Amino acid sequence: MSSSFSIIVGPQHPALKEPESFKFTVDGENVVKAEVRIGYAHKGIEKLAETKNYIQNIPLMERICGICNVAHTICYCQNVEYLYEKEIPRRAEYIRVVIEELNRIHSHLLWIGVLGHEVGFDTLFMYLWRDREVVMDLIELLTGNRVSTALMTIGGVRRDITSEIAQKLRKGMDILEERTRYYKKVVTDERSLLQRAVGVGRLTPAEAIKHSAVGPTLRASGIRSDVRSDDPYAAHDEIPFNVITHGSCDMFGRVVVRVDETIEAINQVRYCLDQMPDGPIRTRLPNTPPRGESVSRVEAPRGEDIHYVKSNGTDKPERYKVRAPTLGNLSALVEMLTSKEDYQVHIADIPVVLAGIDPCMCCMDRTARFVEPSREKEWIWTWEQLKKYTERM
Amino acid sequence: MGLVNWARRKSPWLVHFNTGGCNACDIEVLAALMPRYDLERFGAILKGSPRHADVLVVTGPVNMQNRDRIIRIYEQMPSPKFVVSVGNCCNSSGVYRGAYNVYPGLDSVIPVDAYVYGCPPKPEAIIHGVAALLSKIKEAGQPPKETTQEVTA
Amino acid sequence: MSMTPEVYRNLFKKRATILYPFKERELVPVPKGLRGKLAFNLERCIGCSMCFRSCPSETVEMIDDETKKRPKRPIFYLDRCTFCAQCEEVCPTRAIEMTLNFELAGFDRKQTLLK
Repeated sequence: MSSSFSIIVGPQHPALKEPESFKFTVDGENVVKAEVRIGYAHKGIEKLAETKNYIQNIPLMERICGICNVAHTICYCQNVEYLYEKEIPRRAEYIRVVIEELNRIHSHLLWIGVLGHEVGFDTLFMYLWRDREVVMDLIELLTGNRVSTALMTIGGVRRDITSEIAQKLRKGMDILEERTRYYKKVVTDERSLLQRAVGVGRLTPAEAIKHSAVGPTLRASGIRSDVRSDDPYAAHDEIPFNVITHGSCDMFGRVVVRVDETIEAINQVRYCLDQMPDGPIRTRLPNTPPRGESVSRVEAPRGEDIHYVKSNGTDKPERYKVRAPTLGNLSALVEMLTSKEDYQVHIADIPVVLAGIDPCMCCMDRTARFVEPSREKEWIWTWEQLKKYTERM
Repeated sequence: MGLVNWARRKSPWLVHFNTGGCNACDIEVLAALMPRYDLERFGAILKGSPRHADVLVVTGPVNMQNRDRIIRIYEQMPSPKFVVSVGNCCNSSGVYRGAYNVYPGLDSVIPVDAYVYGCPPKPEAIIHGVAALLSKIKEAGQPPKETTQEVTA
Repeated sequence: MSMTPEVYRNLFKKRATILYPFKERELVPVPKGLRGKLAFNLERCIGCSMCFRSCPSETVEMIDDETKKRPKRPIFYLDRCTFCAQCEEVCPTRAIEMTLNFELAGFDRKQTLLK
């Protein structure tokens, strides 16, 4: 008879860079059950967005997540532009694609380095983050800050790409392509990495669809689904690219998918710089959009990101809702960390699988609304009720 | 005492905790430890446990769920200890000002020694902040406060 | 084993570290459009409050003007600023400017009030 034992991987842990808490029930070396506790990164962004006007909300939406901030701002600005039912200039859409793909390159290179660190391969971590500085310098040249770009506004973009910036971008893309192809050779040949990634974190296609996985986690199980090709937005209908899938359903597939997506992003930036149309970069829109509701979807580096806005004719939104990609991957994560008859999860696989879905817990923390069965009706917390409740605690 | 103070400021060991921030300041703190900016030249190393560390680097606004955890981490560190708050969300609740569960700054929860401003600050600014903290220790010449005190914002 | 030739090759290359802050300050890349610390010119301000209406984090507060040349004037709490440059963009007289100074570290939060 074996006794079970609980391990808590708590909010402060050397393997995690964000506060989140997991409780694993282990039996010997195998993990039997996994429970997730979230809520450490909840700040009340959705309720706070109702007290600020549409222009003040742009930096707030940018700080839903610092690493994929371009995806959230593009989604927000598109959402509000759909309410106005006006088109933005074509040049602004191409500049949005350029900065979005630069953001995707920097996010994927960051992730491969963090994977090397979790596996214990610190050499790859250090070399890769040294080469990632090329793309950070390019983003700083274009926007003014390495991470928080603040390039979007409602009606277009705020800064233009001049010819000197375009020349430096092209040179940077050449350097990055050569280095990324070298790292692709490393991650597919290096024996220590393969031993810890092949067969780990298995997610079959049926399970992936049932647990609503999104992004590279879904595409590494062989399912072809990408918002840029299913539902094109912001000049993606004119730019040719390939949707990368891999059939191996484990961590190795996720690594290969992300490296190949980086190379595709480099090609997309080059195409945009060659085919950039002339014209203005923003249109002036009035302060208050008309009444209505709108939904917009964007392919963030981690998956599909959905925003919803409801406007009642004033200059502040009435309701704003965000569904970040990691929330979709969370149920798949619990599935990947549970042992079954033909698939064993060891304790040493835990940090690798946790890093494998590219968790961005800060994007994800929203509140849930509980309905008490005795009351049989739902209510929504008002601002004053929330402040009184949290002061009492 | 001079030899002990010299040893303390030539090897500050760091522990890092993110109290619910947006991760931008976190990746800049990690980038400050990478080959291009190399905070390890100053003798710093990133440790996993607060019991091994001298300097606590905090990012992100402190929300209600994290308040007890960060007080516990602060009390687990052996004194003399120092706290650096990186990013404007940690200094004064930044862009989330007015939210219902965010505290108005880290210094309403634990005492803070150095502030680095920026949203997010460049890695050079973080190195500038750590160098300023080390020079403050050198000028003081003796270990600072050893008991926790509540500081109001 | 594919990392090993790369490691040997890098033994003979230049070092990748920039020795900031005590030497080599000129090698730090500071592009022209860097969003650093705010600078405010009171002479050009007309008191329209557009900066107050576009700031996301209540950095700008409008107080009464002592010289009475304008109805109100802004003061800036720089420890709440997100450096988004929206105030610079909407100001009609270009009284607000983002400089190239990024070395902002201090020991006292009260010194960050900009008048």
